[in-house]
Amino acid sequence: MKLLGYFFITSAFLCNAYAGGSDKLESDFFDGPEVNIQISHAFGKEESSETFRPRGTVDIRSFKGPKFTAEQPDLSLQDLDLLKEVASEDGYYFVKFSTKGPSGVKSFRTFIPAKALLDSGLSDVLMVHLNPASDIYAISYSVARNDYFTAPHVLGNNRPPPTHFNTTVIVHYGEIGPVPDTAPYLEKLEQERISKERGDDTRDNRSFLAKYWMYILPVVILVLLSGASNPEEGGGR
Amino acid sequence: MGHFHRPTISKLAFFLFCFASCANSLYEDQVGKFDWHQKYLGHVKFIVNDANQPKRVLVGTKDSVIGAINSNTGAILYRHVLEAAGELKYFGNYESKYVLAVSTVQDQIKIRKLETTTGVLAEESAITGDISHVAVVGSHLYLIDAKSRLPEVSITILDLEEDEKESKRVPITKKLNLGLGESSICDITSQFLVCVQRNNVVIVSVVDGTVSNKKLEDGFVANEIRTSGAGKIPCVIFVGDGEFQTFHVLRNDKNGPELMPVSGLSTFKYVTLSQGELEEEPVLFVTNLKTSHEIIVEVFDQNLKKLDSQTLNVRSEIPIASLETTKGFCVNSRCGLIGFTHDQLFFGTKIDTKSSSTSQILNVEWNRHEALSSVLAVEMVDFPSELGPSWNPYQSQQDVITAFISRIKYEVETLVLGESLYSSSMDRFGLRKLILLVTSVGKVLGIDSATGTILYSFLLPDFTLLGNSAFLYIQRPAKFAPLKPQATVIYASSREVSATTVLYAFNPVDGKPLDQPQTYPQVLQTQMLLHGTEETKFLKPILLLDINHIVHSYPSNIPTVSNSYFFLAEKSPPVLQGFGIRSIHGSTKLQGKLLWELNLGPGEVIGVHGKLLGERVHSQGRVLPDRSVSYKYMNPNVVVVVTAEHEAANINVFLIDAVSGSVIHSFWHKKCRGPVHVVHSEHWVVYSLFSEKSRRFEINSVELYEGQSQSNSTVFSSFASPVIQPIVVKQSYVFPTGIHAMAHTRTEKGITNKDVLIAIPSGGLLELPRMILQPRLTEMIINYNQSLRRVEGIKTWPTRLESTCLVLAHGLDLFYTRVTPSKTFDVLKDDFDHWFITVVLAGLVAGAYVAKRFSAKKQLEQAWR
Repeated sequence: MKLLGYFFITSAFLCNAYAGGSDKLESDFFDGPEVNIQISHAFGKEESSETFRPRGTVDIRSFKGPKFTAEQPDLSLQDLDLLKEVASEDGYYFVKFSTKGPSGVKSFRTFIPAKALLDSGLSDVLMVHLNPASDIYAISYSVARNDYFTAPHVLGNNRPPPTHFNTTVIVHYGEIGPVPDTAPYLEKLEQERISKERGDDTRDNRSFLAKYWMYILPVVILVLLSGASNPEEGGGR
Repeated sequence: MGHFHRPTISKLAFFLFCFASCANSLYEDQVGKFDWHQKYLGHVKFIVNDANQPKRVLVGTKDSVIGAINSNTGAILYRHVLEAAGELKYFGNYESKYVLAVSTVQDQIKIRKLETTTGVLAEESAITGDISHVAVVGSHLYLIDAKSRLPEVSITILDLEEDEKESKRVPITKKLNLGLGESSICDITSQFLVCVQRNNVVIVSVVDGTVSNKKLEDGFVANEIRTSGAGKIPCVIFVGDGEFQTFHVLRNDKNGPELMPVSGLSTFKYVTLSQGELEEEPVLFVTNLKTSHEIIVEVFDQNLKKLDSQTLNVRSEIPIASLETTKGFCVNSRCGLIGFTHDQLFFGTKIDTKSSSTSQILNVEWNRHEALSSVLAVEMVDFPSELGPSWNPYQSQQDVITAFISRIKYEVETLVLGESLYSSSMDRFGLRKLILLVTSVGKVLGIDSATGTILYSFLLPDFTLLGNSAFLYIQRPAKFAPLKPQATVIYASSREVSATTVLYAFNPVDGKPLDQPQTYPQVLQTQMLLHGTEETKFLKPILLLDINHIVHSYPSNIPTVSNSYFFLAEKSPPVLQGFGIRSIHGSTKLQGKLLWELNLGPGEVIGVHGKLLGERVHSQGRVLPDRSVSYKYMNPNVVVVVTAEHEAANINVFLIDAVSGSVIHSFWHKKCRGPVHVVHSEHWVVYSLFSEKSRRFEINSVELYEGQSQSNSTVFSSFASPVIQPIVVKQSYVFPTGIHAMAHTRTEKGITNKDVLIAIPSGGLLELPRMILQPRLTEMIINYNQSLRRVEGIKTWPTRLESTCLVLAHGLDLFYTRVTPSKTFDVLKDDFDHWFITVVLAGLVAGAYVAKRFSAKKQLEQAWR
């Protein structure tokens, strides 16, 4: 949750940066799904692991938030057993996303180790990457946790088998590339010019002592040193 | 007793303070002490004699570099680097004092008149158009296009003298139809353009535009033309398929140009022609490569009569594989030879005019490895130590007797091989390395980093580029003695019709092959695993992913591969793919399995930059002013992928996890263009681009942090949950000049600060502390006044001294030096006065004792009062 919190802050901040673009998102808010993500998945023994079956859909109504609804039927116990088998063999769980957005249909394919998905209790995260035109150019897939079987549970060891997909959507905005911040430098130059015109000597206005301490210090030390032996002589008298 | 000591110590402290002036830059007497600079010319296309000074030979290269060399030593007298995008089409004498250079630059033809003595530009003009050949007759320049619109040939005539009167600069263009097919090949000799298709020959006299058709023997298929170039004896060789060659002369009769056979010459596989002057009479040199160590040069006079007394026999110690361009030349009735081979070896003989012997046997006196101007891959390896390492992992796993026997074997071998290669026992800090270079002609060279001398060179069998490069790996470093160090080059084979990939393993110290060349189906991607084990004799295994997605390994008997992934990037469309490695059921073969696929939208990939293999990071975090720690995001699997949308002039930079295929961050630059140079290390990325909007070069610096807490301090996993989203900190700077290449320094333990090395177009190599990334130019140029031209890459290696990093910049030149980004904190300075410090210390000790005595005496006296 900490992670999500952080991310909301960032995306909110970025939205401020493109305030012009977000107007459209506001107006489209009630107009139905902005982006529809069809999820299909594939897992199993090597030979059959390439056949993708539909898993569900995620509708993102607004990137701001983001506001989304996920419609995913639970995994059958049969499929869960298969997933467990794949996980025990260090196999992979493949996912395919196809999106229907304003810019047409796009398809993304990615994967996660089956064991990681199982350990998360099917809590996964879709990170939707947007370019500055608010178009999806990539979807990253990861899991939200890894302690489903180890974390304390109200039912103790009788916790229910992980069959329910708990999907979170995070929106990641691509940044406009940084540009050199020349304004403060020009301001500084301008200020220097003005103070020069005024006749201020801005070059070095430190005190005499601050400027030449390195020359004074040895002299003082030498004086002290030569003086150090004198009191003894004086004391002797 | 104390008060006598204290003043002495503070006096000393003051004394030392005065003397501790820091020397950051190079002193004049240190020039060339830590560095060396080798200048190259490139792919030599034109070799021209200077009539005024026979020892000076003018050279023009394909890569638009012109220069002059001393024909007796091969030393460069001067060199001028023209446009990198240009191609030299003509380079020859003009009048007595000048040399004329005609080159094409994009859609322009540049005509330059240069002084032969200095190469200084005397006159320059440019016209638009495209040309393939150039002829100069008198003061007329004939620009011929016999390539773009074949069989039509256009000839543009320019009067060079008339040119000076600005008003009459009107080129005349003639168009001719050869009646040959588009696949015909053409070349020029003197004022004749000769084109051939199979056995049909067309000769065009460019001066009067007359055309004549000839036919060679039936069944002859010419696939190459070699000519004698500019001069008074126009000659041409048609080279056919099997050893078959004909040789003809051209004469200008009333019925148009004629072909006349020439007889009485020996023809071996490589025959080249050149022209020169012998006692002020024009002569023709026919150069034959008899064996790889013997060249025969036959001299013919104007009437094509062989001058037997002048036949040269040139012996060479260095093997000469082929002849591409040669030039015979004579000084006081004695002739010599300069030549250039297909593997870019530039060589020449010395003419001893003082010697009275009439023997025509000459030796190749000098050679220049011009291949070094096109380096594909570089690595540095340690020399094996003469004494052998005191401990090495290989020996520690053997029992006493086998270890003893192998040690004796190693010593004997070392003795037999001679001292020169193994005498680095003095090099305690690993400063002397062997630089291993693979060049674009398939030549591998080993260079001693201490002096820059070439220790060995050899040609890779059947070499062509794999994609546009070749892979070079150091599979086993020298520390596993008595096992030999092993380097491996992976390249495409030129021999097979179906594309195959060759893996060639050799000893980087002496260049000797260590195994039969291995062949694989066309390989898409390779990687070297980080660790070698005893089973593989400490060779780090190389995995190769072929076009059928089968994974091969070298050596083949590797233990199980786990957690290895391949990453492929296609240029256009910009599709990235990740593969996992799985064993095929029921066999020992490995297979690459597609795990993820990502299309980065419009545009094309212009760069993929990973981190350097096995680089160490010293500090995991950065301490902030409030004493909290910001931990670095150190995902070793991050690659920086740069795409360019050329039409929209956008540059997009993606940070992608190459294992999981997830996007970590992206930067979208509007109205920018490349080239984008990227430096990627630890937790930071520095990249440069050109902003079209502000019309300036910019450097962007990006750092990634995990935040105040660290998810896992020991190992990083791309599949960790929850996935870490790094905090991105970025800054952008204006850079005052363009950038040719960029790299970063690396040291053994990563404690020393990292500097960014930037090659700039004016020839400087700039060392920019990454901490500031604020360009302050002049002070940080590490190559002082030795300008480096067309730098293509910078490579860095750590030494055993933490402060010191070795740098090699390659391009047209090679420049090697060492840098100390955090100053030499672990080295005493060169001028450190050992005697002085000893005397001062001894004096202090003695003084302390004397003072102690005096003090004791005084105290005693005081006590008595």
